[in-house]
Amino acid sequence: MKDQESRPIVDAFAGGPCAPAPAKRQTPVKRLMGERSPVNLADVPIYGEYH
Amino acid sequence: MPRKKPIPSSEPLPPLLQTRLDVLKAYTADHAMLLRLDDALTQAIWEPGGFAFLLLYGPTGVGKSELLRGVTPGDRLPLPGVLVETPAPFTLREWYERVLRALDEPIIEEPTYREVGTSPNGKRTTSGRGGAKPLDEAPELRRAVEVALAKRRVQALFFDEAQHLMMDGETQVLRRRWDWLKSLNNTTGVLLVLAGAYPLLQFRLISGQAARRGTDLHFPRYQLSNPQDCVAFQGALLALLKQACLAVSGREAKTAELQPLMDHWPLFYAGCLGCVGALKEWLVRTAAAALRKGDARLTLDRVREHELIEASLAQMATDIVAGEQQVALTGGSREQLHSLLQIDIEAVPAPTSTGEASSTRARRASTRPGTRKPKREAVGE
Repeated sequence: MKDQESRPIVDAFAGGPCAPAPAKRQTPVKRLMGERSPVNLADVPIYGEYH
Repeated sequence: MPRKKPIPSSEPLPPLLQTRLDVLKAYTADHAMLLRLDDALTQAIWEPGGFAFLLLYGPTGVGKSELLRGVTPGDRLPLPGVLVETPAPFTLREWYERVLRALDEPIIEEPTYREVGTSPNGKRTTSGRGGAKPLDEAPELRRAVEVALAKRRVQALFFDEAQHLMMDGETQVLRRRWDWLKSLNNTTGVLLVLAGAYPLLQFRLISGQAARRGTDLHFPRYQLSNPQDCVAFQGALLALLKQACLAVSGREAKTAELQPLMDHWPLFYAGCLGCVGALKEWLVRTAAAALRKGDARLTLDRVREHELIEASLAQMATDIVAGEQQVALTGGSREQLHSLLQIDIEAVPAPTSTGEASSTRARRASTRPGTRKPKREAVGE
């Protein structure tokens, strides 16, 4: 009952009953990162000295 | 290889070991991000295109100072550049003196400018009568700087740690600093390169003129979410590990020594947050300790010992994320620009290929399910 009563207020804040739903906030993708992740040294770029 | 005898912490490193450590400290890998920024900065200095100053900003420990040291030498630029660290707290007098020292110009003290009512740092101590200038403005030093810059035909002035200009944080102070920079550029014609951490971005927001007369260069860290960044970071790590192994063992590292270290690249990434300068400092601390302890080679345990403490990393991460968000926010967008100028976005062709543009136009405007298509209602019979 309480929800039904408060609904117009919610709609008013949202810009009316037909207002489009607010865009969902994009949740940042969390990467699982262990301490170790084998690499092939042959695939790693070789950098020289800067200057 | 046998372990060597440890060196007590009360004694300096033997000259041979200190030299090896110094070689590591002086080493900078020409990793992908550094080279990209080097190209962009050099190009901007060769042809400023009407810009009076350039803001080079990025996280602490990303390699901005190394970039400035790499670009400054005269052989890289058509005319020389001068690199000066911005004093903190910032005073014009101190800054002028540093520029003159960098240019090997004599500094002549003129104590006649010290007036009653001003403290040595140039602030007024009393509300004296008359329009006496505070000592900090140091007009005699400014004149000397202007003459020296013209005489040496300096093309660019690099302010390292330029966020010290923003330390006071008050808009009024920032505006005065901006006016000073603008005036310095007007009188000398020298491009001013302000390099520092993200607070430097405030400069861009001072006024429309500041935005028009300046350009930006963002030196970002390597992002874990970007596969290309991960590969470039691994390359930078490998180059630095080779040098660190050389410093510790005195010989080139074998693949068998490098492989276990490289396999822990996520550990290294987490310990420097993708900032290669911070990674190098970490490896220097590790190598110094390994030399003192008499380690025969660089080990992962020694590396772990010298990782930054969690609190420091957390603070660093907070600053970086806040700065990156500020870059995203102040970067603006084409839509914001169009909205500001009241340009109909539909009327402006999007900078995409023809095929993409036509497919966008053909796309049906999305409506909520159940929403009727707007059309005129039939009325009456």
